Amino acid sequence: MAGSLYDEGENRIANILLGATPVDGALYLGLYKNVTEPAETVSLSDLTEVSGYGYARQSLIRGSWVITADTAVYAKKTFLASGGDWGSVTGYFIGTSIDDSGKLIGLEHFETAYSVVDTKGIKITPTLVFG
Amino acid sequence: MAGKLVDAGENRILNQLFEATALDTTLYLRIYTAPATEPAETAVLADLTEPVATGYAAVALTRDTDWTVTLDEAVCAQKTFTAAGGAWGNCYGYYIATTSDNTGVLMFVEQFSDGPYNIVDTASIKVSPKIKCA
Repeated sequence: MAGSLYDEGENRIANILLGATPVDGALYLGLYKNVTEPAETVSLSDLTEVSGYGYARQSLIRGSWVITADTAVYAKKTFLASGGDWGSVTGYFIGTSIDDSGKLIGLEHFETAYSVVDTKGIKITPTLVFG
Repeated sequence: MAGKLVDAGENRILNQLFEATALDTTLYLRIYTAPATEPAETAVLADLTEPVATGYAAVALTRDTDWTVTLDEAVCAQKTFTAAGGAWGNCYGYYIATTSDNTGVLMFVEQFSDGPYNIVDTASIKVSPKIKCA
């Protein structure tokens, strides 16, 4: 299953393509713990992000994606818990910033949550479908 | 009613956002007289026929200058096409491409919901393109 564009992401894309906003040289991949799938109207600050124990958002560099038809795929990224448990991780998101000052482009809510304990991890292949 | 991004347009947008393809600073608004039915999402420029009579020309749309973005929708300032020197016949819709000829990429198409418009000499079509990024 691929992630979905969210309202902020759609607005950002429209502004990049047809407005004056410059294209993002990097996007950022993160993990969240919201139990229910966030509504399309949410922002980065509405997500309960994993924190501590080795967690950090990872950059996705423009020019490193593989585009096929209407789908963009990035090479697999691994998040690894170190020093403690992350608990139940329910999805991943892609934003324009390393913190919550940017825009939420899209997210994917896992069909089943993953309980991540110390030394274990999650591997994500970021995928966005435009269409 | 807003039109739709076609497959080729979606692919170009992804390449502009995530890969190395440069943003289009100018797009071109064009009218089609064929097909009579709404073009499929798989359509390409060669599938569409423009008016051939005197007075027809694609209209350049400049990034930022011509567009206003609100939420997930971009609306372009109204553009007018006027037949001059001959009739264009039935016009079924408009499309937006990366070039004024067929060497580029078809991005977007909209079939006139109350068309076709039979454009006789000196008559006009006014188009306010709307693109929804959803």
